[in-house]
Order: sequence, then structure tokens, then C-alpha cells
Amino acid sequence: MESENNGDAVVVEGVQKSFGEQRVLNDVSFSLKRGEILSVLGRSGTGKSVLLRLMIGLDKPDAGSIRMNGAEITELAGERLNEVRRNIGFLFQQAALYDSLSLLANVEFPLSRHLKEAKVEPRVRAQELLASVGLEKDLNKMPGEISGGMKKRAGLARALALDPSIVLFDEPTAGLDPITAAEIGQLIVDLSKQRSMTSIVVTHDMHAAKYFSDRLILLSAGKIAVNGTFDDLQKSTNEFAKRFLSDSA
Amino acid sequence: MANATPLVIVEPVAKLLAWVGDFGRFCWRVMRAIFEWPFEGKEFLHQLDSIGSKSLPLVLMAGGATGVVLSLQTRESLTRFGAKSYLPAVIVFSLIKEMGPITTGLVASGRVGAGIGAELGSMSVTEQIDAMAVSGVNPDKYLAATRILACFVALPLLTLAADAAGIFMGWIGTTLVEPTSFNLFMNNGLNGVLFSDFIPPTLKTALFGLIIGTVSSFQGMSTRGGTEGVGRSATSSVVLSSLFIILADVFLVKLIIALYP
Repeated sequence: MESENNGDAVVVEGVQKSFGEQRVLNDVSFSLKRGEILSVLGRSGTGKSVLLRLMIGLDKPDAGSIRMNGAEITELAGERLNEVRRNIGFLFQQAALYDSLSLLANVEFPLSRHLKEAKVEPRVRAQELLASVGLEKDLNKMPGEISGGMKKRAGLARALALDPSIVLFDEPTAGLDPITAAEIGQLIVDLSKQRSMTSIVVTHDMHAAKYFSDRLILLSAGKIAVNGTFDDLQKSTNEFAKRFLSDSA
Repeated sequence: MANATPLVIVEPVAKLLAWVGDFGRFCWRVMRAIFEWPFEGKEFLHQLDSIGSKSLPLVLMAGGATGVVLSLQTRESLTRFGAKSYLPAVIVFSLIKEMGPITTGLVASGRVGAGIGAELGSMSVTEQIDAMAVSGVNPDKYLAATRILACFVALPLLTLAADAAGIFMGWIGTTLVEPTSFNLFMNNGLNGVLFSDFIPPTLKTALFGLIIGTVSSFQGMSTRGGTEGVGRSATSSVVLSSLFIILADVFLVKLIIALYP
């Protein structure tokens, strides 16, 4: 659970992952310092979401190492894996809210299981979290009754419930109108700064990535084509990077 | 064609073996999760209500209908052989030894199996199960173990209800044709019934519950392929649960006869 000696919150080394004959990640390596925001870009099917799933231990890589807050997540299982996961938030692409629970109960769910304080505490904390994402008036609504943007906000509140030091965002702005997408992007930046969180954001949205990322990596055919700042991406001589930038523009 | 034939056999066999392997691993994980502290008491009670109480009306109707049918059909046969006075005993014995348990098992596999398969399948394809795992909660324990234990506890209780409804409706069926007091019917019916006739067949439904809960949870939690996959999981939960219940019943009946001759 200790962080890396050099201050890296996330270290990914030589990660490989295949599904059947198809290799989706091939020797992927990068690291991330505490408090940094990294965007992961690439075409659909290039393994961006798979990378996030490997980083939270939902899938195991075929080879390579992933250290989250110093813990080798690829080797963990059971309660030890859960212990590491409690310090990592995850915002799913479709928010993945429990559809039988209200928004308040959704956010309260991880809190009531992991907070040892008095019984009223999880509910109060869940209310605060939902208020911090602008859903203070929708506490008792069910996931089926709210819009996609509100679902993302509620999912974000749930991802932040246990006050994680690392948060993984899987396409947080996908399927949203530009204004809501910008609001979600701003929320990510604000929350990351307020809480000094390390954030990894998988996105197709180049403008959002430029706006909220300290660094970005561009995946092409399962490999990292560019790893650096947005300026590095713009200056890159990599053919795929050039095409990706011009098509995004 | 010569090369295609082995593939036609090998592919389904490989799929079956893969299913058996995955199912075995799932059972092992759930078994370990059941004994992990803390016990998910609140969710277990919620599932017991959802699986037990809400299946009660259906089970009562199925048990009652079975009692009436037994009464109507058996009366004719027994009258033909001059053994009409045995009608209450035949109804009671048939219900408590086999008809009540198997009817409850099959009705529950339809209602509960489809419900668990569809609910967990839907949670699986919308990443709700993954969301639970990443928040540090073991889905095998919270979702599967609670449902399996609830089925295990609920089925024998539902069987008692089905038996009672069947016997009562058997009396109604009998008394409509030839008026008989309920006391006389019960005295004749229960005369000669031992605990060993009643307890083992009732308790065997706990195993039916285990089958329904485990198969349906596994089918639901391994759902892939969107809404179509959810439909497939609900269907396969019912089909496999029903099939395994009937197969298990063959062995359990044989076992009960061997243990209580």
C-alpha cells in the first residue's frame, strides 16, 4: 500500500493482454506521479478500457506489472485486492449505477460497508458527495429516472465515496452534449485539484483531454505511440499521431 | 465432411467441459465467500423475502392444484380396485413424498431461477457487478451467496406450504364428490405416516434450492452480449435448474429409500 519511493502513484511496466488471437495491449509501460492527470487516447478497440480494467484488477494481464500506490495489483486477490481497490475510484462508461437503489443509496453503498464510524455518517457523507456534483435535489431519484449526464455525476460521486487517491475514468464525457461534457471535465479537474487525486482518463474527446490533462498517452495497435504533454503530441512525427490529431480537429 | 464430423462433436464437448470448469470454480468461490466474515444478513433477509414470501402464492396454487388433480384421478383408480377408503392416504403420501417437493422445486426454478438469471444478467451487462467489485465488495458473497442461501432455506418452507395446500385442496376435491369431514380425511390420510416419510423428502428440497440458486446465479453473473444475453441467461437458468432438479430427484429418491427402507 506504500507509494513508490520516487513519488509515482501508478507504474505500468511491459503490460500485455490478448483476447484469443487478438493482442490488444502490447508492451505498454508508463508511470504517473501523485496528483497528475493522464489522458489515454486512441481509436476504439485499441485497449484503452482494457487497460483501466487491468489497473483495477478486474482482469489480469498476460504479462507485465501494474503497481497502484505501490501494490502489485496483478498478484492480488480476495481481501487484499479489495483493500487496494478501496483506495482507487472507478467511473464506468455508463456510470454502472445499481438500478435497484436510489442515487443516495448508490453512493452510500460503498461507504456503509467500509466506514467504521457511527451509522449516520455514511448517509451524511453520501449527501455531501452528491451535493458536490450538483445532485443535492435528486438524492432519492432512481437511476432510471435521470439523464446520462446526471448518471455520470452520480457515478463520479460514488467513485469518490471512499476518498480514493487514484481515480480511473472510462470515457467520462462520451455520449454527452458539449456543455454537459465540459461540466464533467471541469468537475474532474476541480475534484482532482481539491483532493490531490491522481487521475487517469480514457477519452476520445481531444478537446477535453487537452483541457484537463497534465500528460497523455496515445495508443495505437496496442502500443504507446506518444507519451508526453499535448505539445509533445502536436510535435510528434508518428504518422498515427498526426492522423489522429488532424481527424480530431 | 470427413473433417467436419469430429468438429461437430468436439466443439460442444469442449464448451460443455469449459462450462463445467467455470461452474466448478464459481461454486468454490461462493462456498468460500459464504464462510467469510461479515455475513450479509440484511441482503440475505431481503432475498429470503423476495424468493420465499413472493413465491408463496404461486407455490400454494401449484400445490393446491396438484392436490385436486390427485384426488380426482386417484379416486377413479382406487374405486376400480375397491380401495376407495385409501384415497386420503394416497393423496397425503403422494404429496409429502414426491408431488409437493418436486412441484415446489419446478415452480421455484421457473419463478426464482428466471428472476435471478435476469437480474444478475442485467447487472452483469451494465457493469454493475464490476462496479461492486471495484468498490471493494465481493459480488460472489453479496449477490450470489445470499441468493443461494435464501433458496436453500426457502425451498423446504415453500414445500411445507405446497404440501398443506395440496392436502387441503385434496380434501376439497374429495368432499365435493363424497362429503367427508376434514378430521376424518386427515385421520385416514396421516394414519401410518412416519416422520421418515415426511422429513427427508421435505429436506431434499433444500438441495433443489441450492441447485436453483447456484445455477441461476452462475448463469446470470456470466452473462455476455447485452439484452439478448440477459434473455439467454434467464432461459438457461430455468432450463438447467429444472433439468438438474429432476436428475437430482432420481438420486435423492433412491438415497432416501436406501436410508429409510
